Amino acid sequence: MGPRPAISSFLESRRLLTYILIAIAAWSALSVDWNGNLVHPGGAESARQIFTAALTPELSSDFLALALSASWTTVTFAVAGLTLAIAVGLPLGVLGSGVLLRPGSRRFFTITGVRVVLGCLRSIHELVWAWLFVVAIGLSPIAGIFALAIPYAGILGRIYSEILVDVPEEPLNALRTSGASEFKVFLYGRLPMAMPDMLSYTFYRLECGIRSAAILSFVGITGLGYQIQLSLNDLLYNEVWTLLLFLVGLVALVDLWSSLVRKSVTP
Amino acid sequence: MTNTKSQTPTHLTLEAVQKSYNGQPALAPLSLSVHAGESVAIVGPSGSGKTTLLNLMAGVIQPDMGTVILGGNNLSGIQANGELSRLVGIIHQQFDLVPHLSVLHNVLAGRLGDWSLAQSLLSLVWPRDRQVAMQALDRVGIGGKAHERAARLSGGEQQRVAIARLLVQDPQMIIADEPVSSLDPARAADILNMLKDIATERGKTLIASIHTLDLSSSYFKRVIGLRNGVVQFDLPVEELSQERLVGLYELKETSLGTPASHQ
Repeated sequence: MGPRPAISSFLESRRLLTYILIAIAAWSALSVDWNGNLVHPGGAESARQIFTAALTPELSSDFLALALSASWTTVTFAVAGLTLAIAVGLPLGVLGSGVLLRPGSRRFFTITGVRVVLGCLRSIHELVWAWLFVVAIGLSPIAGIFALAIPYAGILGRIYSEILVDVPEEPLNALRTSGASEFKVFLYGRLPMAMPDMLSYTFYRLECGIRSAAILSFVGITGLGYQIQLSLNDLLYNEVWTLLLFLVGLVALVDLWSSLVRKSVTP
Repeated sequence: MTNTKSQTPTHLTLEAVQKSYNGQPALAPLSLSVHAGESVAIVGPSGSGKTTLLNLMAGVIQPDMGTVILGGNNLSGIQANGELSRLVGIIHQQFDLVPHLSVLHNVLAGRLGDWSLAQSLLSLVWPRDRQVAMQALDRVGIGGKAHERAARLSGGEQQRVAIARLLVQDPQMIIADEPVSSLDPARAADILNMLKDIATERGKTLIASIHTLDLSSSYFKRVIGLRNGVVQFDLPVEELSQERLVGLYELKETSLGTPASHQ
């Protein structure tokens, strides 16, 4: 058993990782053609136009109404996708945490199996799912919702199971000695104690979902992303800025909502 | 030693009970019996095996050897469920409540052994047996706090909630593991008084591990001294002498776990 520990400790050493990263950075810098047209020659002018447009976003009432309805569409898609993700991710997260099962081989195989499923769900990005669904069922809002829901179910399930395991044991043991079965311990102890963290993470995912839903517009979800694309094609930068401001506003609203809800469940 | 009480039936019997953790003995073979309605304090330095002994008595853990018989039932044959919760209830030093639930739901958790799963679930929305819980909260003097979150309560109030939950659970024997060690002396006396009164008025057997010697002698009728998993003395409180107590806590080479040296 001589050399093996030495090799593995060398591979695990942080210094090795640092050297590799430095080497990669140096190599990529060398492979750039610094003398060529690194920057598009008309780029400076375009950039100036884009940023001056930020000072005069399009504020006509017609366009604001359009931006408002596009925002609403984006929110509904994000909420629909996330609802589906919670419906799938919560039961999988509970199963994958193993908290309802007695220690033993059945528990081991359930936890492992569910973790593999959750891993597969979240290893593919929602954009890729969107492409696949467009091929399979065509341009449709359903494609966008499913594309969002699948990876998000995997992410939520994983995080839920970790939060459920990380709950303090003492109150749970007290419930057990009052005669509660594991499922009742779950209802009266584990779930209430895990709830603030689970809610907070779910709201964070809703934020991410709104951003993703905006990007997924190309599979037939009309909404902020679709409008941004149209305005960009027409080089109407002041419209783009208005739409971006609505996107920022949506995320801020979700954040506000999240902190209000969290306040009501934190002891 | 307890022949003065031989007319009341035996409630709890430990026969040659033994327990070790990872090869380290926590309790040497130990036998004792407790009569119904007795109040017993278990004293001893930390690491003496008090908590192990109480957990064995409560059926939370099983002995490696020997038997624990409670109310005629061998505890090793009973799964931790409603049946066990009617025989024995336990309260701890702290961290006993679910901080996110209301006081009312924490108290009603004492009923979980009796309720079906559907009843338990529905009760989170429409509390069942509310009357019983409110009576228990009034008994421990915090009837007005039923709808507050448990986390908002002070340490002493939380301990009252834990006692109210025991009242709702209504076991034949109450076990208290260091019930007052995180409380100031006035509140500690208050809580022990309440435990003693409740045990007396409802005819419960009460067994508690106690840190401070003066508390053990003023609230309990019998004191068991434990050290290194061995019973050092088991006496009615009036026969307890100061030397015995001092001897129990005095530091000895052997108590530090250093084996006889081979130098």
